Amino acid sequence: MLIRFSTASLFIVVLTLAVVACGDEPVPLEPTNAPPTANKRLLRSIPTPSRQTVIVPKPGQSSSKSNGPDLVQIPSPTTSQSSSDQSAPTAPPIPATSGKPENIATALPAKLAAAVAEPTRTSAEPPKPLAETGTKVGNRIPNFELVLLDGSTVTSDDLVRRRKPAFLFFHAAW
Amino acid sequence: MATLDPKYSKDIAFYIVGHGPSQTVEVLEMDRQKQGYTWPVAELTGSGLQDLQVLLQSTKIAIDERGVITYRDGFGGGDLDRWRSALEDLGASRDDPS
Repeated sequence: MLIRFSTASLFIVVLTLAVVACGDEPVPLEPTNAPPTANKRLLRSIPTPSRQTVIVPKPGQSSSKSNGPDLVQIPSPTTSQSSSDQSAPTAPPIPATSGKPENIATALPAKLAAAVAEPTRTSAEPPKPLAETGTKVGNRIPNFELVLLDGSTVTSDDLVRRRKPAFLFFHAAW
Repeated sequence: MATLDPKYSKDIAFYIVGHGPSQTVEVLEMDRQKQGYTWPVAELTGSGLQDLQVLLQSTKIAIDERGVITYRDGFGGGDLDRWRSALEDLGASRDDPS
């Protein structure tokens, strides 16, 4: 008789705890393209989750002590997530490009790499090839440096930079 | 060469360049005054003569504004008309935007 009563009492206690634990109302899901005001309303509708109590013995203490271990409250992962969501500013909704949500952490580097790899088109015409360096007509003249009577110097690069044609007359004085 | 119209000097840089180590700018300057050239004299530094393969005196090299050789002749090569034509081409290439 006593066993039956104890079993019934235990069942009632367990049932009460289960009802209390499941007492949170389910949060309605909202589409991603809803306006930010709807998100705020949604955040307000989320109830504060209950904290779970976990018994953690202090280091160096065994659980067999007579006075028992200290009780430490560790917030459950859902608690910290909800509080951070409440304090964070509401971000605008990301438009969905497909049925599957896109992971920004993996998609963004791939898109950046694709943008860098794409060749830049500046003009339709291919660039003019530089003339081959040589000493014949049609060749680009090898680099040279001239020293003038006043000690100043003129290089072939100077002439090209100034876009100045030149005529060199190699002369021998007798 | 000295009789070429000096009007080209406005758009084209003329230089009388010494041919050989003995042809210093001082020697060339004296000769320039004697010959009546109006162009400045100059010396090539380093291995310039070898780089340009100037093996003969009186070699003439015309280069356009991009540094491309448009005319080259050695000793006895060309005449007044040919040189004038080369200079005209240099002036025309400078005016050409391409």
